[in-house]
Amino acid sequence: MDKGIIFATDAVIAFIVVLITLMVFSIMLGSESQSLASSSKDYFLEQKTLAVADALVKNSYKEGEIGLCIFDAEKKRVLSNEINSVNIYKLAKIEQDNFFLKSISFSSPKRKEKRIFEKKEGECIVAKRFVLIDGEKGMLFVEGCTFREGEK
Amino acid sequence: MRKGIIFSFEACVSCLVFLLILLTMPSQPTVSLKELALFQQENDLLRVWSSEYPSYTEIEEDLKKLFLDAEVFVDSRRVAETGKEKANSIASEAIIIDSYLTERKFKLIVYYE
Repeated sequence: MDKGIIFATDAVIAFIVVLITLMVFSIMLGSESQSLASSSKDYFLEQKTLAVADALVKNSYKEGEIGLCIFDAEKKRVLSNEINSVNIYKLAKIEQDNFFLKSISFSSPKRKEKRIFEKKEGECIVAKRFVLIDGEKGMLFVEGCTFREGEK
Repeated sequence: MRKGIIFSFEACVSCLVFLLILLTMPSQPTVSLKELALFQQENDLLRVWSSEYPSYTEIEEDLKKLFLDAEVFVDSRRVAETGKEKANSIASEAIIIDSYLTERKFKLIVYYE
């Protein structure tokens, strides 16, 4: 029998299949990791904004804490979803990790006001809550943002 | 023996395995807090209505401010509807006392994609 290399079609096809599989996997891994990174960033922003908005409409106002609601001293309880508009202007800036509160605005049939906490730009979303503002039904808009990379 | 390419059974199997791998590639699930946001907004409406008992007109107006597709039932009777064309839904219930001190069962259903 002659010495040499046997070049079988089967082996070539199998080799090509393995190569293509590896290539497809590496492309998929790259795009998956990229989309995972961006979706986890979106998730972080959504989570923080919703949490801050919920704290604002469920907790009473105290200096240094996150809350806008009225505290009924007689009943000794927080009136959740009942907001005093003055508290919006007393509220301190909120900034944690990569997240910051950009603005809070409200609109009721008689008034529309907005307080801007931070002028920096970033990726932002708005949480919309239904509340009683100074005894009137209205909407509260809480704008939360994340700093763009390298901007903080 | 004739000249040509012999495409064996093993090669067919490996091609099939490759196709199977491509078809069964796990896709990343989309993570969202949309349901939580809707649930919080439903809770807001019920909380405000419990504080100021609304008329049916007010219920409809308030509903339109927050949701595109939603329904409100008071004591199992539909009193407001903005639409229900979506595949998913979230419902919340609350018992609210009206001005005559009668307990009213509010059910709010929000439809979403």
